[in-house]
Amino acid sequence: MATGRLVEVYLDLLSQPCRAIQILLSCTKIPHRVHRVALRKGEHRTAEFSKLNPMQKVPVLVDGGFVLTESDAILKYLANKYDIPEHWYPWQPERRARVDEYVAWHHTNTRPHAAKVFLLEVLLPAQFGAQVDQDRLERALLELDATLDKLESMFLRRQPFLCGDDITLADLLAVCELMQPLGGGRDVLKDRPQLQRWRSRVQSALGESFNEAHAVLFAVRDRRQAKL
Amino acid sequence: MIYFQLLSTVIATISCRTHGYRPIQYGGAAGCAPARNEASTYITSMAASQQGEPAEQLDRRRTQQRESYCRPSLRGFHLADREHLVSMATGRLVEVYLDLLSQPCRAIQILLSCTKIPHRVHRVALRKGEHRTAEFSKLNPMQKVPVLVDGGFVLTESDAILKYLANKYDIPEHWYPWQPERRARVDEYVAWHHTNTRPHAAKVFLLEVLLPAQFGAQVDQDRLERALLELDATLDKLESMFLRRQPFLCGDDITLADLLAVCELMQPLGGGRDVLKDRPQLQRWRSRVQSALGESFNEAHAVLFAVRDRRQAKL
Repeated sequence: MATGRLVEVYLDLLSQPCRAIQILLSCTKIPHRVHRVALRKGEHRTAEFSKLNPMQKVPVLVDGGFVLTESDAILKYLANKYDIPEHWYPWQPERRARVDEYVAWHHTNTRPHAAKVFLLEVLLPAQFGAQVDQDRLERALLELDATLDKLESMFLRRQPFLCGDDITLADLLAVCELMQPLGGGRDVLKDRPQLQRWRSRVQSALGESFNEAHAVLFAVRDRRQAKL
Repeated sequence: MIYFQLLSTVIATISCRTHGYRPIQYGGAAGCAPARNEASTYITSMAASQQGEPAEQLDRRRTQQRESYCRPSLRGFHLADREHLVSMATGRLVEVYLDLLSQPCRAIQILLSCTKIPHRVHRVALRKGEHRTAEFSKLNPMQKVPVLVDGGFVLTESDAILKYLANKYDIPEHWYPWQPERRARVDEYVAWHHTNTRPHAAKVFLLEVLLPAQFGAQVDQDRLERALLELDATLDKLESMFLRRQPFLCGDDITLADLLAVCELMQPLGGGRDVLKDRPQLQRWRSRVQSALGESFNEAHAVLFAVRDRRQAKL
């Protein structure tokens, strides 16, 4: 801080994990600079970006020469390294393990299933100008439904947040993922009051940073609705 | 100076037990956002000490705070850590529910053996459906292995279990280093592992061994070809982006990352296939990992080798 060094992040706010990082940085006021990488324009495939991250993906963090990929690792690194409120990623082993547990499960459940709905309803049709594949969409919605059942009954249960009484990195990743289908005008929590209340609590805890990060997604939704 | 350290340790330990513990700042120097409005002596003393606290002292203080959460080292005495000393004395074992045919289960078995954390293994045979019994479902409604139970604390997901063991117990630091940049490298591989190494290697085993065994059908050669190509691309990235010129995936020492990766890449051997056959660099890595793990590696893989040997006997 004395050197005025900023954490540099390379993000596309249409990407769910990128939003989670943006929100954490805003909420915790870690001094940072955002470099926008537009995936839809192929900016992740430029020679310059590939030098930074040969995997050609976002998000990427650069902290004084230390280059890090994978949103999980980036969020946890920020929590471990910087003086942010402990509730995000508690130090006590049992509480930390709960966050690690959800984040691991998120990768193979919440993330792929919610992202697939957005892919089928918005991205693929936009990219190929084709109609939505209704069969695949139906199956994707069923899979997401099963995932949301587990999210409610096994993680949230009667707690205010996914890992206990306070908001953590787990809630951040989950909420950004579950917001994504809204880009296609679909609220996947429409018939789930318990998860809606959780989402409201998360939004309240995150304040303005939540809306700022989701502005791009809302713009996508509004443009689509204008066309219809 | 000593008095200050002692005082700050006591304050830190007391504060750690309450809800509002603030994390240690690792970055040195005047660092980041100042602690916010929590009225705690610890915060005041930490903020005060941040102004020009010598790096060595900061480091010692961080270590003490961190260790106050760990099982006490047999080598040292930790102030006010009586709770942990008592439970160690009661000889409590970590309970794990594992099927050694499962790659993540083996990783946990190996870590527990290597680090000699006192534990008890409950075998759950997936192929016999033992994960679907009412009893097991009460323990883990997701009906999956591995599961850890530590004095009433129930935990699923192998990543979380491995990291919990590293955070809680006094094991060699190289497994999951505390320094943020080194820890982040392990977190980075483990995250990537989930959506790359694991699904692609597991699919080969599924197509070559599990599905034919379960349904008595022939191997679906087209699907197998595609799965092998995907695994090949993954192994390219493993070599070029993680291993590179390092001895291990995350640097000079073996970590949880190597453990997860090696167990996953051993799995196709159950069908007699060595996926590293044409990759000398990864073979050398595998040998280094096996050496570092010693007997625990072979013991954990005995079940998998038995599967391979039975299949070869049939051919």
